[in-house]
Amino acid sequence: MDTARHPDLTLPLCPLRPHTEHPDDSLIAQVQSGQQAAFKTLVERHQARVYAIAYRQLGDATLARDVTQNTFVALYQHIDHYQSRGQFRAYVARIAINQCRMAVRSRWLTKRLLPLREARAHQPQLELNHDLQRALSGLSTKLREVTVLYYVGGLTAAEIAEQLQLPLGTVKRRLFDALVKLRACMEVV
Amino acid sequence: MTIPEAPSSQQLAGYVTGELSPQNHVRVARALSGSAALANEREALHALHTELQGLADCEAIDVTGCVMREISQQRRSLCSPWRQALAGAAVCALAAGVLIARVPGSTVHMRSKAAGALAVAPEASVQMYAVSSDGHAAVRSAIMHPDEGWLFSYSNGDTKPYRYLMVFAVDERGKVYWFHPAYTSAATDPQSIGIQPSVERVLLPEAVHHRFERPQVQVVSLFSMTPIAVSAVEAWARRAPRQSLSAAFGPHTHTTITTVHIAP
Repeated sequence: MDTARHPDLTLPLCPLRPHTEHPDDSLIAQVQSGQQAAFKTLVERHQARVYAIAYRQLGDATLARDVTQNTFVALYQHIDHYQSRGQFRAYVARIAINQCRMAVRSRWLTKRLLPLREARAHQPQLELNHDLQRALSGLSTKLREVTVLYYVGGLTAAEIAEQLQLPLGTVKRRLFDALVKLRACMEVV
Repeated sequence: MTIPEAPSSQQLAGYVTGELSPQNHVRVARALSGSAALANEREALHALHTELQGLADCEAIDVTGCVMREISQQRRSLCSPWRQALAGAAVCALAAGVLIARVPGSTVHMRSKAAGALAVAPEASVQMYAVSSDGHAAVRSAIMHPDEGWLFSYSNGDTKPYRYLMVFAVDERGKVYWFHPAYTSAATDPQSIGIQPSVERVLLPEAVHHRFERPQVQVVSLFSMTPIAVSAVEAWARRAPRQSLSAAFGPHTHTTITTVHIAP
């Protein structure tokens, strides 16, 4: 395995901060007009959050890194379709979740049809909250998606409902169910 | 959501997230003030809520360089003469497809992600996956790394499904790299593999590795009603200028072409 592709796990934590100097939508307008450098700023600005979403959703650092890259490549390919409505964070989060779904499908194909291999020797130990991540991984995909978008992606319930095209009540119910299940799981731990 | 006297765990969860309606929030607050057990449960959920917020803090990564390299390669491919020639070939193939549209079962589909959708996608299609050295497969369409294996699946659910399939890559010099059928000996001349009708994706069973000589190839899938020999495709690839595949192999074929960059 190419270890150079894996992040240095001793790196300091990178807290997610809001950016105010250039609104995302103005950067996107620059990208849409052909200014590629503006896209770099978007990547730098959002990559930590996209990676966090992917990692919490997948529980696999290598896959999460691939998903992060694929999310931004997909974003670039479809940037002309983005309509500036101040919802870029939610838009990127939805692409990330879609890329996670594709990664899971691919992983399923691999496990099913390619020779099974030993678990990765290089499994990051980045967890400060390992029990919580394990509990999160035990949720169904539907519950985990809503939980990750809410707590990691920083989306509101209404934004999640819009991005996943679900009724608001369904999103809230999944969120509440997830909390109750996580609490039960953490109690056992 | 109407809150009865004793709220459920889900309703308490809604309370700690602040996602209840104001009326229900007040009702739960009232119930909490009269029950130590409920208050304890609320505390536990609140602690979990706080801990979950900490999940947003993750290790620092930087994929900026990788992403910018990938999109730069995609942009360059849009401008390359090789790409323009292929786009021209795609238009010709589409024109040929229009001309033969009255022939049952004949379709021509040139797929080119970076160049945009050139035609409607019929049901017969091929999906490409990159298989990493540790055995994980990921859907891939634009960039492959030299150490990755190439894996393919097909769907073949058109109203008149095709019977045979070839998948190969061809570089700008006309060198052909075979995925399906396998072609390892010049003494043999294998033909298209047989395929089944299926609206679901069918995975072709083997991940294939090649050492490519050029940084860019066109991955071609060629669906047909009759088997085609490897030698016929190689002869087609050597011709300059090349015919469209439908012109070379007949109207009862369906083709997809994807430009793939081989990362250094």
